[in-house]
Amino acid sequence: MSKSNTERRKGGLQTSFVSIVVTVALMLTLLGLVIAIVLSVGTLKKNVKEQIQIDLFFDATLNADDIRQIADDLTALEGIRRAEFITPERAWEEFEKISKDTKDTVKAFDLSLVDNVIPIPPSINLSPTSDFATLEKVDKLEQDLKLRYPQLQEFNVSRDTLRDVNLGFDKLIYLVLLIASLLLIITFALINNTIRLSLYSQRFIIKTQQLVGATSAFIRKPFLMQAFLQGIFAAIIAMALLFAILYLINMYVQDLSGLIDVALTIKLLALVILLGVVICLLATNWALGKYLRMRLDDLY
Amino acid sequence: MESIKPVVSIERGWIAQGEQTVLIDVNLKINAGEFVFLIGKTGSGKSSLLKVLYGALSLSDGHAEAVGFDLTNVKSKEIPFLRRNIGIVFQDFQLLSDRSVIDNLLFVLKATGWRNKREMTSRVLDVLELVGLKDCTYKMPHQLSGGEQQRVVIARALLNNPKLILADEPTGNLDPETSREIMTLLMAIALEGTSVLMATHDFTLFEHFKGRVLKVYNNKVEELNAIGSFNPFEDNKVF
Repeated sequence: MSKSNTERRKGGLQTSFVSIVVTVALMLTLLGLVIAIVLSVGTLKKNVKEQIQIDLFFDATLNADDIRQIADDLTALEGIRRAEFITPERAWEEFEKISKDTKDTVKAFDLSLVDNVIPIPPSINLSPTSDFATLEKVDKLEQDLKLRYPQLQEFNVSRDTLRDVNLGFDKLIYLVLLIASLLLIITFALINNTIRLSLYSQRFIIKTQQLVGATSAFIRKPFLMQAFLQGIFAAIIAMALLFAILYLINMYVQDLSGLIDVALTIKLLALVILLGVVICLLATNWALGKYLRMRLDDLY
Repeated sequence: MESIKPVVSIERGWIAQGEQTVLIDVNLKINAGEFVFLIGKTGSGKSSLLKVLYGALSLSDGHAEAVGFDLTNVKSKEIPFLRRNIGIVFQDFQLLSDRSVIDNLLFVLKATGWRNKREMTSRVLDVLELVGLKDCTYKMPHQLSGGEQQRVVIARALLNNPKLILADEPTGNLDPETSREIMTLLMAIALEGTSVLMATHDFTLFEHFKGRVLKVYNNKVEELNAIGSFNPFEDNKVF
């Protein structure tokens, strides 16, 4: 009978524990989604930048084998993800595949095959790695290649696309980072408030411990242990919710399905656990510091 | 003859709460086993003086020592250890309402470094017996009367065998009969060798109970001669 009295009274504190866990879990889920967007914008930018293609055309002194050899050499260069030798036949096939209007233009200029000779020289099609897909680095690559291969006549790349991709994504990333930072601050403020309010109900326990001679470390320990558990539990719930949301996105939104891969998911979950635990510990420690410094008269 | 060090000693102490000076030029000595009343109106500075003694307020000038700690230079890390030698009984320093009497007391022992569960339980039962509340061990605070709750608070103050008990209006919320019981208990504690400094605005108490009387008036602490010299263990005719 005696113990049940105390046990029953603990119900109130457990409710406060659960409500903190739920609040933190929901805030972490929201934060996790924005972090997922930040991480996937990076992947998206990388994917789009890796689609950028450069065509290299050489003068007539080089035959197909020479150019094929150059393509092989280029593959080994830093900043080049892929270098492919394009035969005239392959180029012509690609040329024929393009839209009807273009075919009409081809006909109008009578560019059809004359004596089965394809009017397109052999070339190299290369794609830079995403780090090298910037205007400056592509310009530098052009200079280097022209020095190395004097027979290189044309270095074709759409500089407008390069500029747009880099600028556009930079703006998008800054915007998403700004939103993520704001959300992080809001999350921290809300979690801090929730924890401070929950500790407010325990301020007399804290003060009693101080007045009977408990050290600050002794008083802090159980509260920080509790905060650690709250962070872990909240992160587990947030992870489950994030998994469900990401799974649904992967299933129903085809365009986005490739953006959220296993590596990104692991990064995201690690960040959610870290944020959950760190935010709960920091907020609890701050609130405890406040109540530990408070004078008895100010507690009422 | 070798002089015994006083439990409390304040020399030329100045006490301020924020910008406001509360007490000036306090000179005070309390020896082991002494029962001292600190009387004065509400707001006269009695509580501030007690706060200095348990390390919640610093002296703005002068020198003070309590239970072997130099309060003038005490570091915040040392304050918990100072308080383990002082039992605090306040009108508003209540029991934790979410746990039973035994849990309230065990909690204090745990917070002050006790580890052995058997020793802890034994000490708790000892102090409860001392204050006459062994039957209430497993009751919740709200199931106790005001006098019983204050007895538990005294039991809590006695747990670590303090050299000094600081009592701030311990009978403030109690009826005269219960007040007499609490006073008798505190006097008994003093007779056992623990010094008691009790702040009160109830001037009738020191007329009936034997003890030194210090009066807080006009920002000063002055020694008064006790009007009564009642000792509940020698003479019970007053009540």
